[in-house]
Amino acid sequence: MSSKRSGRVRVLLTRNGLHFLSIAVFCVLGSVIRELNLLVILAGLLFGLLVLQWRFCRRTLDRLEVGRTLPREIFANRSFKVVLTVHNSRRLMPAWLLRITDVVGPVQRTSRRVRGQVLLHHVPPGQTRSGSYEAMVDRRGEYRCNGLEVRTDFPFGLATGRVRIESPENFLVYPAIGTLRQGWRRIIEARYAGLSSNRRRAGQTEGDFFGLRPWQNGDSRRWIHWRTTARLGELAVRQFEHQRRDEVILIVDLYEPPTPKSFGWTQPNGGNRTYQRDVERALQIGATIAEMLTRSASTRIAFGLTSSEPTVVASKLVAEIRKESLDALALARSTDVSGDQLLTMMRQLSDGPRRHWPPVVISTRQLPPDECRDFVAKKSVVWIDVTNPDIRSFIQLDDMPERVPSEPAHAAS
Amino acid sequence: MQRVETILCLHFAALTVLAGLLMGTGAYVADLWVVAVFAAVVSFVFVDWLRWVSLPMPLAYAAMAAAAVYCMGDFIQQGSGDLAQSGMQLTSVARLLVWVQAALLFQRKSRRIFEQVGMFCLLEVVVAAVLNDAIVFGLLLIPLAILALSGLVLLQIWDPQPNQLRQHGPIHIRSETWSENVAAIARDTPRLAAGVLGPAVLIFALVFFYTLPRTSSLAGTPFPSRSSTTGFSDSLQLTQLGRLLQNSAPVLRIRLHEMDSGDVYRLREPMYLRGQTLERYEANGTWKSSEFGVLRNGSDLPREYIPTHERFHLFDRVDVQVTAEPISSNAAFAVAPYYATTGEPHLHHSPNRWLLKIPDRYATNGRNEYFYGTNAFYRGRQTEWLRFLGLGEGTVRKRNGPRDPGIADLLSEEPVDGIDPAVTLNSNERSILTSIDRTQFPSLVEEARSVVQKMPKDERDPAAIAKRLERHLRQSGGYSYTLNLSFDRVPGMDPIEQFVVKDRRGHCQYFASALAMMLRSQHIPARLVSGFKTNEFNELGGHYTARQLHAHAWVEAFIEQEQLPESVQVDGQPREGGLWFRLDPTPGGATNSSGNVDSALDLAQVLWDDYVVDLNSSRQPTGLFSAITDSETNPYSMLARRLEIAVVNLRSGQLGGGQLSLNRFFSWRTAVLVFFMLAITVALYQMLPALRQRRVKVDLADAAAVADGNSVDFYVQLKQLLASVGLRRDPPQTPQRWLGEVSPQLDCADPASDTGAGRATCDGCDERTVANAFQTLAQLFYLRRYGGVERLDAQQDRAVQQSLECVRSAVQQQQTLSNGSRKATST
Repeated sequence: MSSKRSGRVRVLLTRNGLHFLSIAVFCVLGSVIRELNLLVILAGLLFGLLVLQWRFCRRTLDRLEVGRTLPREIFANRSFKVVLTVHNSRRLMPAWLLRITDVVGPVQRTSRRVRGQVLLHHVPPGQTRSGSYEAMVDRRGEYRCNGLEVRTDFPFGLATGRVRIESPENFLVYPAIGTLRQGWRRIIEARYAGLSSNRRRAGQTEGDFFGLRPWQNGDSRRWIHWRTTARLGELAVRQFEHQRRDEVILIVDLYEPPTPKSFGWTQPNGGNRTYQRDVERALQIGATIAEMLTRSASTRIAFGLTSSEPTVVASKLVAEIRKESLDALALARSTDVSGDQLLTMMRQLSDGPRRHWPPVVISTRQLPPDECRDFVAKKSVVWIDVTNPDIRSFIQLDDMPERVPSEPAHAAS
Repeated sequence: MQRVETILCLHFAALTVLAGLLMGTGAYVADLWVVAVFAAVVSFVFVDWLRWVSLPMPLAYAAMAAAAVYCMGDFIQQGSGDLAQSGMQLTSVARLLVWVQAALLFQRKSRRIFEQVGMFCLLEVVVAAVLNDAIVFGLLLIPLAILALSGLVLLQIWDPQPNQLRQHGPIHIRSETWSENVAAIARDTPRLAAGVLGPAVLIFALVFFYTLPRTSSLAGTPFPSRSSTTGFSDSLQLTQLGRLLQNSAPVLRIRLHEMDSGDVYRLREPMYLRGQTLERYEANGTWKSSEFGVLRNGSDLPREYIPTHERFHLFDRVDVQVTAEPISSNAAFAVAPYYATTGEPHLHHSPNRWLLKIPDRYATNGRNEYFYGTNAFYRGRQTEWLRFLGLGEGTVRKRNGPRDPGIADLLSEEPVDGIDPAVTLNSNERSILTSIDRTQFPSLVEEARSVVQKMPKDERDPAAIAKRLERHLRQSGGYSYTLNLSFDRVPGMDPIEQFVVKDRRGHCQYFASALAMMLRSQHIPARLVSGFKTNEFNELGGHYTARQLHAHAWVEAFIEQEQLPESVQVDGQPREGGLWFRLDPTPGGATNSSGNVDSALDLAQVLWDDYVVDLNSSRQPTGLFSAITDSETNPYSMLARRLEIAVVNLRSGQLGGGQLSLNRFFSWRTAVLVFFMLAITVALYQMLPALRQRRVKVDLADAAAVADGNSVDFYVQLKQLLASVGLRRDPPQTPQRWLGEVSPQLDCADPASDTGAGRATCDGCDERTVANAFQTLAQLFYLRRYGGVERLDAQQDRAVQQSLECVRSAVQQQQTLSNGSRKATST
């Protein structure tokens, strides 16, 4: 959360305020010319309104601390709330009818910025109030919340007080994530068949002690908790929780062919729409799997990304891997990744303690490049071709039609 | 929001009604308030409340354009010229405002429409301020201002648009509207407006009003805002028929003060204020004034008469201050004999007739105020005798104007150069004042003769004859007073003759005319005097009020000095010269009506006029701010002086005319006063402990709130969140234990999910994350509440916000699940 104190207050007349001012001036002129005292009273009332409005605008916006809180993770096509918080550090005077405006837009101004607004009706002195606006971003990338602006028209709407608070804050929008189906588990399980340990138990043989329960047929006698059994007068057994953890090497391969024209690419900024869709799909699948795997702290994962800025994240805490991998996916750009580069990355990630971890490659290529075929065959790499429509058997993305094939499909190893 | 809109519509409808009423109390536009009220009521009921009909925007604009064309045509036709025409033009503007506003009211309301309606209301108030300066304006302005403030504040709260979804490029944003407690805001903020902002604005306006320097000594009344006074005119017609209606509108306010002490001078009998003398009677009941004498245009007021002889003076020196509403003539109303006091050079004086006149250059269309002194009173009674004050042929007339300063010394008993004071009527004046066509009044002449014949011969001096004829008409002649003149006019008969012969009833003009003619039939010069006769005293304001119903006519008979009865002593006036003898033949009680006057309202009107409408450069220094410095005239010192007098009177047993005296054994007024004072004391005594208890309760509640952790804002938010799903802390539970037990009760899992990826559905928050969030919040709460940490650092703040967001997601999920299960159950 970023919080800053309000700066210089500017007060401008509204349309209604201008009308009031005009009539007040007319009243003064009329009273001066014709000595009409009732017009003087009216002018006094109108000027009183304007002065009070001006003072309220200035005082209301004085000594406010405004802050913004963004969610930890923002995914494309998922709505999120931006919480704007106002702390009134005055001792006596509350703040009424505050409109806090936040401007959101891409860091690189490729499109217009959008204003989000939060309305707070009352902030008592010395207290904090917050409100939120809901936002959704269609595309991954880096965005910026620009400076906040706090406005108030209270009490009469004759003038608007504004104060700008320079608190820009960048945030990353991760690729849209989908839903993994049961087929995903079967892909992994099939890959694990015959291996010693792909989904390992964590803890003791029976698992971690969880609690006690009545004895049932089939329970081992070793599990009987004798002290409790003696106290209760009936058999009670210990319960164990078996914790299993996944171990996966996840590689997202954003391959872009080197000669666009030979593939019919005509657009100057890197690929036609079909290819860009494949890249985005690879990113979405990678983000979905990474997001799912890193939910559990017991998961062991290594992450690699072949893009214009290759990224390798391994040997770190799950939370760090989660953040760094999603950050990389948010900013990734496709490039001409050679087979050697991919092979190097696969070897790097499958080295040492991770040599038994199953590699999963999500690629825009239909088949592994020649340089990698031996490695793929040797390590039984799961090769997921994002152009293959059968990927719907294990994942559902937002832009995919809802159809589940009868047989799970995955690339051959 | 719907309720707020209805309240807002009600506000603006009421504003329209009040603005219409403000204009309706002014001149010319009395019918417009009906239009305003009708439009406001009908539009509120059928457009805003029932929502049956509304005027489409194009049609509304067409209606407004038609109204504008019609009213502007009327405006142009009025032309420009005098004030009355300008007033009529302003009326056209008022009509335009009301009609256009009516078209606006019949549209479906938006923020813009509300603003336009408010602006039209404001313009109507401006027009009303020009057309209407009555106190009703001030009385209506207060509720109107409160309503306007409340309406403006409500308009800030009201937001007719639902959540707005904005989209540009890849970003979609839905902004938040006011929270669900907008009804509470709508209830509270207008109170704030009326209770705090309203007085603040009013104080500013008052300071502005009283400190703005005035450039002129005349407060303007630009347009004839009130109908001019009737009941008094320079001529008199006896031809009206039908029932005369009495009008209680005030015309004059007369303040009488003893010149020496400055105390209010109270009268025991009605006071006669001369407005015009009518000397010439023309046929068919018409009396007209006749200018005669050397100085037809009048002169300065005479200087004060100071007796030269050493004896007891039977007159009181009284200061007279008259405030006159707008009238149709330049007459100033006089209590004769009068004389000039300091600082009042504006009045002109007609010596022969004891009349005052406001010169044209000083006359205003509005209220006039003038001062003079008089010797007419003695012990609360006004003298019946008025010394003839004429100029003889030897007076030097000046070509360039009548304002010879020497004339001001007419009352002096010392000779003045160039002035030839006359002691009696000249032949021309006498012939006019004794003129009577006896053929027109045979019965009247005969009746007068018979009355006089009944008098002893040795008592038949002019004064006695005049008094006898007055008594005849007033008491013994069988005449009666009436305002109902619904009798047939006899063709060819003079109205006065008909009054005497046939009807024998009428109002003061008939009685006065008959007496004047009877006196003339006896060769006694007589004339009519029209003016006001009043004894209505305003106890609160300390002044006399003359209303239109107090307009009166009486008679003055000329008595030579040598014909003056020996018993009559004329004091406070020159010793030589003829005298005018005031005779009032109208039966008693006819003009003594006070007209059901509310003294408080009358006093309010006085204050409104003095301190608001008539504030000018000469009056401004005696306004509110000089009250502190000017110890002689300011209201505070006057109040202090009155209090001092009251204390002295209380001690001397004269307070309240003796009713509130300490020396009296029992006084019901004192008893009532003591009773109420005791009641107020007991009420205060009862209220004070209640206030103390309330304060103690509030303190205890505050202490309990602090003990419950309410001083930690994020903990309060957390409690509110959990309370929304029915999770509340039991008093024995510590916050940590409570939060630990709450965590499993929040079921985050979505049964519809088939991800197989655990129970993570709450925007990334699974059970473990929620439990961690609770743990984090509990730790930070203890740190903040008991750890002596005033404010959390940025990292802790971030942790709090993230944890709260996680809990909020879980709570929302819980609510969604609860709603879903309820729907399933009901299905």
